[in-house]
Amino acid sequence: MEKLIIAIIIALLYWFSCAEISILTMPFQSPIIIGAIAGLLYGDFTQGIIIGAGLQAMYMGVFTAGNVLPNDKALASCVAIPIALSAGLDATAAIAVSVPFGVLGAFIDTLRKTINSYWVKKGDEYIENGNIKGLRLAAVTGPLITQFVVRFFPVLIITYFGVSFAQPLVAMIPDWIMNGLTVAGGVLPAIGFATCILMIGKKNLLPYFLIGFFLVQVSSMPMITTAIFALALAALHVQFSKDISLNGGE
Amino acid sequence: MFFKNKKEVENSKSLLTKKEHFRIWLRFQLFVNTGSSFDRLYGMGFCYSIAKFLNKVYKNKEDLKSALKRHSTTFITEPTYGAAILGATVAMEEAKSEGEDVPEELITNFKTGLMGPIAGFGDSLNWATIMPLAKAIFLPFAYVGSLAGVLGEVLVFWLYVPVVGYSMYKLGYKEGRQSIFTILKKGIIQKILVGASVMGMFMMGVMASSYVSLSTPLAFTSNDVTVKLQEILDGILPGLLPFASMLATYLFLAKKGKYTHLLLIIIVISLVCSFFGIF
Repeated sequence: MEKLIIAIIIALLYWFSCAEISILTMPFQSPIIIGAIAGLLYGDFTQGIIIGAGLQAMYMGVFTAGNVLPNDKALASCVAIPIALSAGLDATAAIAVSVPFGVLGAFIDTLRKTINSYWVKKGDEYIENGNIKGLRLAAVTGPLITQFVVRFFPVLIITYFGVSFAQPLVAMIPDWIMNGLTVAGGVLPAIGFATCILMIGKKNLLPYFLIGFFLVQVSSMPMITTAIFALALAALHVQFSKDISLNGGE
Repeated sequence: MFFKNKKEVENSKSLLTKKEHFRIWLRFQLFVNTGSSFDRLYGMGFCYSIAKFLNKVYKNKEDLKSALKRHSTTFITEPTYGAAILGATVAMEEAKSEGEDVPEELITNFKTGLMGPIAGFGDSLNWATIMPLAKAIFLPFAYVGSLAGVLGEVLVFWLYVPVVGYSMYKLGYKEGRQSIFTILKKGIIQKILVGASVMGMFMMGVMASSYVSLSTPLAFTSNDVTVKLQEILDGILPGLLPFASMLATYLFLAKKGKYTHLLLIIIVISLVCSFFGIF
């Protein structure tokens, strides 16, 4: 019974840490904080923080830039720290156990962002009907429910039944599904950008899209630098347009 | 509080109270990323953060609907510094709702033009500089199991983000409001609009190039020589596959193809191609 309660709390903690409510939930991704909470649950607060610090050091430098989660340190911590605390392992041994679940974490993240497209579609319907209140469901509550389903249950199973039980289950997810969703995740943003281009709606300006696209492909220059090019191109276009209203329109 | 130099700004009274401004920012800061999806990124979150405000200022239902629509399109940036975009957007929508002639494209292009550079700036400052630094400072405390190691890190998060974020919102609002009236008054709106469209279109190319990805693992072996298809493609044109998917998506939507169909088509094709090892 006590084991189940601990497993539920850890699973809730993982869900909350990944809920993406900015600074309210973000700190809970930190291995040190997960370590402190797990430490409280297992009755060894100090040891929890120490193991968490070990994991933190390993994950330093791994940060979420540009909406991609290179390595799910929260999942690794939620799996590894309880094991380390109950079996008396140190941080290094704990991370070795948790490594296969890093892949699972990336998969879960891809899965929920794909599922969230459903809520986006709902949001479009609410906008069509002028339903302001519905937007909360589409932008916040719905995605949180998605997150709960995909985050809570895997960690509950792993923590309750143990890693040796959970590992074969993770291995059972076919590679092609994991890979297929990652591929979809790479292509789906094209829809959003295409919609924006259609909204800007000036077909005669499409060459600027080509310049931007391939400039980044061949140079991989930083975003901030591209802004300079954007400004310069805009200035040139405006200066050398004879009839601005003609060139601006379609 | 918002306007110290009242004379500089026409119609200087904001339609919103200070509390309402704060709540717009708070919703944005907390929830912009919550519903992140691959097809719109933070779009729905942005729309949610200003939905109440738009509902207040746009009395006409059709105006409200088109405003909600233009703000639910793809949006992505670093939220702390990106709050400046939010502030300026609120300023522009406010002016538009008061009957000023603010073109829809100006608002859209402003957002699409700025979100990339601000993301680049904010990400590298926050998550690659300040946060790792804070972590490194408090890590030694955690090594010995001290509570300071836990709290120090959280405190940095909870002080830095709101202080910088809300200041950015106010800055964006103030500058946005001043510039929009200056632009409208001087009658240079057409020039600004075209310039902004060039920027928006160019930055869409930049963003698409960074966020849309596709590559193939296919390889052919003959006479002990392995030829990787991706290398050939890169030789022809770097980014050929992402560009092809971008083009196909654009044409599909331009031909009035259904959004949901496109979504499902992409997921199904990805899974099928992954099954056969094409992607």
